[in-house]
Amino acid sequence: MNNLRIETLDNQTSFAPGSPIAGIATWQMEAAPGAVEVRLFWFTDGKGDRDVGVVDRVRFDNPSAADAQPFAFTLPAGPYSFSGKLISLQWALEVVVLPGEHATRLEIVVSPTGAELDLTTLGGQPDRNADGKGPTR
Amino acid sequence: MKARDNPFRSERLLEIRFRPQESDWAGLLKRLDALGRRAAIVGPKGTGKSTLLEDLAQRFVQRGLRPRIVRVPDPRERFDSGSRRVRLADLVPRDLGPGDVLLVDSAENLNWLAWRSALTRARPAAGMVITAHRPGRLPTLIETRTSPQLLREIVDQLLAGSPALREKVDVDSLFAEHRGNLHEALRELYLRWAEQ
Repeated sequence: MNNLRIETLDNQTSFAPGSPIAGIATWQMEAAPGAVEVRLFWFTDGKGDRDVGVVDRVRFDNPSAADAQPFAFTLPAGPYSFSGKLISLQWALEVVVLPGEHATRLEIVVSPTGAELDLTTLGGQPDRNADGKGPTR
Repeated sequence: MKARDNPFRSERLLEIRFRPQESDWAGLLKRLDALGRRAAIVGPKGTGKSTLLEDLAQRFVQRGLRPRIVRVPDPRERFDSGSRRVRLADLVPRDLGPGDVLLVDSAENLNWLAWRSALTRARPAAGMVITAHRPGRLPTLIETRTSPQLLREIVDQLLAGSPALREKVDVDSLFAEHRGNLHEALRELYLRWAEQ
């Protein structure tokens, strides 16, 4: 049975932009794969088409059928993790066995506050004056 | 509701694969072979043509062939990220060989010249399958259709485990309102959920 796992050090799942991110990718396959790749990427999800940006990757060529390898990346300054009503942007680490479809991912948060930015409360509010007293009309 | 929690978000919709309505996969592939692997998936918008094309690509991979997918943009959106107009003649790869299958999504957006060029370039390939709204460019492999029952099955799948939410959706009205375009129907459900 094929088994894939990806973990960060101390099981940390929230990171500040620009900070290092390290962990271990573990795989146990029935046969030795051609390669195993660990990817750091962001993706959007929501109403429209999905967008994906692979920021960094590390590749282990001709690995054993079962192994565990450390990885380390440095997060870029952005984009931050956020969610609105129409679109969410999420970050993830993914371990992929090549060739083929076997993959597993670990979702993480990249934000200066440590939490995903919540934009759902911004939409649909009436316009307000600078003093916050209400619509300008 | 946050986009990533919306049951009708794009990631969930991508999990829904083509469901042959009047045939099965074996019959479809047999017919495709009988047509010399040169055929068209024909149907109105939102009836699963592109989904079927993607699923066919997977079947070709299983047969040891290399699918080369070309998505032809709508004439009104024919600009790349640098705002340069996309040249239709450049969309179809020039290096197609016997191990390749050319898959052209929205082939009706190719003008006559680009279409002739695509046919020529696909000649050495093991096959060529296109999607189109109308029949004519290649023999029809299948005409995609939708039904209220199909929409019902998809909504049930996306709202599995939430019967209370499922009761809020009048599938028949939704299907009629969008004239069988399942993409539009599901997009409307996305927006309804987004406002919750």
